[in-house]
Amino acid sequence: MTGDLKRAARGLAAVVALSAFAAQAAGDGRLLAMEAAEPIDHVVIGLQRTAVPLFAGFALDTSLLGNIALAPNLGVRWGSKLGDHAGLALGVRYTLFVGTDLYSQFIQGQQPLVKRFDPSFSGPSAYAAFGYDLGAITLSAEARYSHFYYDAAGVNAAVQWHLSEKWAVVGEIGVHILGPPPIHAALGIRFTGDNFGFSLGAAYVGIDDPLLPSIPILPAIDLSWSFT
Amino acid sequence: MRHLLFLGALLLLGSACGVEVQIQTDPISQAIPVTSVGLDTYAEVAVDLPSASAGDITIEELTADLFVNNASKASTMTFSLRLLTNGGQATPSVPVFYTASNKPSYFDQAQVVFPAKSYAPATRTQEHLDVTQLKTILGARRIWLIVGNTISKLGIGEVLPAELRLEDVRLNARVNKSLQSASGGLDLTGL
Repeated sequence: MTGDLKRAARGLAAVVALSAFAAQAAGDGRLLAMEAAEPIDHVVIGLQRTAVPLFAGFALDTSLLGNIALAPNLGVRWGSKLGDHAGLALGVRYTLFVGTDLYSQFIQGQQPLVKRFDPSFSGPSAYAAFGYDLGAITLSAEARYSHFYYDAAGVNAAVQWHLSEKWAVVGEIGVHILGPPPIHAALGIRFTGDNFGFSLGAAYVGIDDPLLPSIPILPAIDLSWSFT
Repeated sequence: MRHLLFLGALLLLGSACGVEVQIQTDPISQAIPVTSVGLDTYAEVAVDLPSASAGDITIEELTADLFVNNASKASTMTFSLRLLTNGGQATPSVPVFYTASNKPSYFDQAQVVFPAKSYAPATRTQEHLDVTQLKTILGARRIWLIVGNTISKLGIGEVLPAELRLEDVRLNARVNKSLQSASGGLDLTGL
């Protein structure tokens, strides 16, 4: 009898652990416009991040949005839980831009003033994200660097306020140390289901150049499906 | 829709692009009447630069094309051109005139872009100036051209006032913009 109870308890513990694991591991590792300090444990197809887990927390990943924009990119990401409450994600990526001619023609067609448009977008980027779970809220910090046409670097912090097991309100704030705009800010909601992941919000982008329409804010959108 | 597409393209790439922009101002013409012999006379004309020339730019090339028309019958006129990047009084619709005896205080801050040169009577001469070295024009939205005209000796049969006409003045700029300000959109892509 005692043995049966122990077996049942072990079985229950295993199911709880597994379901908790599965719930945490879904999603594509992105908040709104920031890295989530979570491992990617399942194959996931997502707009901001599509990934295939390899082993020991490592995953091969790519930004689908980047690929659609003729900027094929491939990254390696490592993520892990640190104890019961903390998480860490580290990643590097290389982006190779192949759309120079197409974009040049397009932009010149749109803007007669533009005589030469010479996009040069290839380069490496890297990031590190740390998160700490306080129960109702999760705090995250991210540092990132990219070297495309010029250097860009920033540090960001995020608060996730968990409305339920799957829904959270996400607020992001940060500073760009290199490259404009001076601040990073985003606010929205995030849904992390067993398979389906979704985030929707608004992000400050500070697009302010006389050649472009002035756009301070843009929607931040992500959709993903995890093959759990 | 076209603007949306344009923006969409720039969103992902704006941070990473050098864009070369060719800018040409609308042609302006200005007459500079001279009322006394031997006295430098100036017309100050305001030129508003296209918005595309503002922002984070570097000048690749800056030139001016114009015609100098000495419409007098018999007097040789001496023409000069200065450029001022702030503080001028003229507006695009209202030029300001003065002479060497009542120059405004900012006159000496203007840079000489075309040293004094004489033009024979009844001639129309095309001039092309390369003023690429004028980095002070960077970021200015309005500049002022100060056109000088002097008649050192009145021609036979000439009656004052006589006019020097500056015709079809165009500024041409080739500038490079980094479009760095569009880089905020990059965070939204996951790249």
